[in-house]
Amino acid sequence: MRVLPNEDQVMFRDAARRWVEQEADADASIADQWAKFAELGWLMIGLPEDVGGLGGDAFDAAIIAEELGRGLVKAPFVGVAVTAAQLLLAFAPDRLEALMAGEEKPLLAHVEMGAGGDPSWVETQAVKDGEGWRLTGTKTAVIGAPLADSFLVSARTEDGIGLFEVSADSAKLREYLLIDMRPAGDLVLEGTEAKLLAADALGEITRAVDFELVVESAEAVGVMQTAFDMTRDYLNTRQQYGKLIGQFQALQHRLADMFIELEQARSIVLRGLDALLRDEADRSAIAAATRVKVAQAGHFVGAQGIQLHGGIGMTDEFPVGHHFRQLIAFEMAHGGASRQVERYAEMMDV
Amino acid sequence: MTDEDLRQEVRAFIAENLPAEMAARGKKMYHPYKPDVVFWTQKLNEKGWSAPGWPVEYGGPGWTVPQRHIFEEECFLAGCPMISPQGLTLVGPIIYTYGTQEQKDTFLPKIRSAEHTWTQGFSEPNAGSDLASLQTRAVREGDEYVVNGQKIWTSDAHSSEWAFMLVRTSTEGKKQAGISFLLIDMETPGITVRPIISIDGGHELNEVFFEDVRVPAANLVGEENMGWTYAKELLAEERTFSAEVKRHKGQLSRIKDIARTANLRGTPLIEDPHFLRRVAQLEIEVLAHEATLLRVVAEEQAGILGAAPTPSILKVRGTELVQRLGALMLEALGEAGMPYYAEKDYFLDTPDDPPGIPGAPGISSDFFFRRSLTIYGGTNEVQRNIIAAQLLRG
Ligand SMILES: Cc1cc2nc3c(=O)[nH]c(=O)nc-3n(C[C@H](O)[C@H](O)[C@H](O)COP(=O)(O)OP(=O)(O)OC[C@H]3O[C@@H](n4cnc5c(N)ncnc54)[C@H](O)[C@@H]3O)c2cc1C
Repeated sequence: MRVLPNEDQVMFRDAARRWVEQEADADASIADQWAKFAELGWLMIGLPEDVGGLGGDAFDAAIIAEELGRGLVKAPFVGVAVTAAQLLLAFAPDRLEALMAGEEKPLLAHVEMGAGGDPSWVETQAVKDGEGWRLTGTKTAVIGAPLADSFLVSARTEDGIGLFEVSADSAKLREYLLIDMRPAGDLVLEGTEAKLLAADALGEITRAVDFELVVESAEAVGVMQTAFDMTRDYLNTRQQYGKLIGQFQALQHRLADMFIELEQARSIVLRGLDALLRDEADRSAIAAATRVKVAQAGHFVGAQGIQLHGGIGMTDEFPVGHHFRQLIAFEMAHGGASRQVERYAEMMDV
Repeated sequence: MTDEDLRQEVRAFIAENLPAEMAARGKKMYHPYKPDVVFWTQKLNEKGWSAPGWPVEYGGPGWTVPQRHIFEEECFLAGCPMISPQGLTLVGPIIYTYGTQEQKDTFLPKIRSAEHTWTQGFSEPNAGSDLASLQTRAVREGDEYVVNGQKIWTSDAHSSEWAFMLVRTSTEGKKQAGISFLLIDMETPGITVRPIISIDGGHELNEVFFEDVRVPAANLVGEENMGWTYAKELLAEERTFSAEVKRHKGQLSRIKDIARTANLRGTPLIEDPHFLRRVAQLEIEVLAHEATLLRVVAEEQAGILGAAPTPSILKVRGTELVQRLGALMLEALGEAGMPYYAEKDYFLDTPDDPPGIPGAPGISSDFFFRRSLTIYGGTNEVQRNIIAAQLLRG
């Protein structure tokens, strides 16, 4: 298991942290931020050199994701630079150049309502139409959807589950904000024109989803870390009954429990990344396990972050609640943490 | 009348009087909506039911505590707007216990009819858990008090006609000993209300600033410097109503409703044994909690003073169960719970082509706002301190 970052990775981490702390402006447009991501090399960091990438892997991408999570950066870094990039790497590597340059932002539109985290649950139908294809079905909770210029869409053909490309112009997008205020949407396909990328794609889709489960977990660890830091600082600032609330033993123990959860989460992310890199039979099980542990830890750390702040923690003006909201969205995605426990149970050695 | 008769009568009354769209709004569980609260309180008032828990001489219906729980449960499950609790359960009892005849005559009927709704001005920026260190000053000048200071977390201050406040009238002796209980008309010059938006995106909380606000001395409740004692005694009286059992039952029933419509891999979620097990686990918790509540109520009625710190037990377990049930509601929704269903878009209307499923709006907002249950009314940390202190006293 890889634990320590190498020198280059430390440099990238520090640069990302600086950018998040000093420059990432919550009001800046995601388009502007995206140009910056490209310039800093983050969109190529996890891709091999032979397609023009920096030669890194999921470990590198996770380093960036964690830093972006600390600052609740809304741009869909993981969705484009990890999930979609892995699929293009498998099926259309020539398309990666535009992605890495920040010119194209494809997103995977795969999850359907009620799939319960099962990557093989696809009801969207594809039918052949002349040279092309037409898709019918609804893909849900596509994070960052309003920013995408194209969607990689899973759909069922007579032969199995294929992967198609649908341009954002030709598809109907039902846009909304998520509970954590990130832009998202449902892709509503009503006989929508599509191009076939791969006829038999379930294996690669599952692999890309595993990447997403794990690298988003790294992002969530960043979200948690900031919530934890803010809470620790607050215990050292807020006074009640004539003393710092950090002097109350009940809160000291809670803070210790939060830290233990945070550390467990941080560790299992490394275990999850290791499973992605080894790409062995247990990859999906470990990815599910990573998701579960991080989601549960995140729920606890976020909720207790609010609790230890008292009334202030309940306000939209103070950031700890925003971290909690993003951690809950993280917990709910991909069928929810409880369903991921069941997936793990289905896959584990017995 | 048996309890079951009462239950049937309440149900029939609701069926006849609660407009369907109001019930639908109530079930979404966004923040209280004043027009609905006023409408429904008036309806109840006509029936003599708008002050459950009050003595008959002040307009109460004369119910036992268990009957009052039945009433509240039926109302909650049906989606009735909640009677504003600040008037009904907080200031009302203080006024009829410690107020002057004039105060009783002026205020109690208007609480029952919702002509006045009330806001509670206790907490301050530096006086939260340590409430007794509050600083808002009230200085006597002739037959008036002049009030200066700031309150915070003041629920519904923006929509209330009156405020009941704890103010400092003396800085001598113990800090608890210099606090008085004052009623203030929110229209009085010098009051500024500033909204605080909470993490669910809703507006219930406020900051309230007082600058040379002149209040008739006749609005003092009881004796000067005795406010702390009144507030404490009467908050304890409310012990069994922070147990939240009605809310638990409402949540359980909604979880099952959602699970009947939601699908998991093509089968109704309600048939998924893993999910049912999680519902069952929480339903068991609710059964034990409700039994504790019934036990406490019965012991109280029999005049047995239990040694256990029961109000704090009910509060801790009740509020934490609401939060766990809220998480299970989100789980039942799955991806349909991920969109932000803003109150402004989904409370009075539903937008065209909404995402998710029909039962989803309001659930995540409620989940987020209910994080506050373990903070207000004495934080759960403070409640656990109380439990332990009482147990160790031996
Ligand atoms: C939604 C909401 C509605 C509210 N409505 C009203 C209202 O209408 N009117 C009103 O007056 N107030 C209201 N309040 C205020 C509420 O009563 C206070 O938030 C509460 O008393 C806690 O105070 P605080 O927020 O200052 O937190 P603090 O007291 O600063 O607490 C911060 C943390 O320290 C912990 N802590 C404090 N003391 C101890 C101790 N001795 N031992 C261990 N832990 C401790 C707390 O448990 C908490 O986790 C409301 C609050 C909320 C969130």
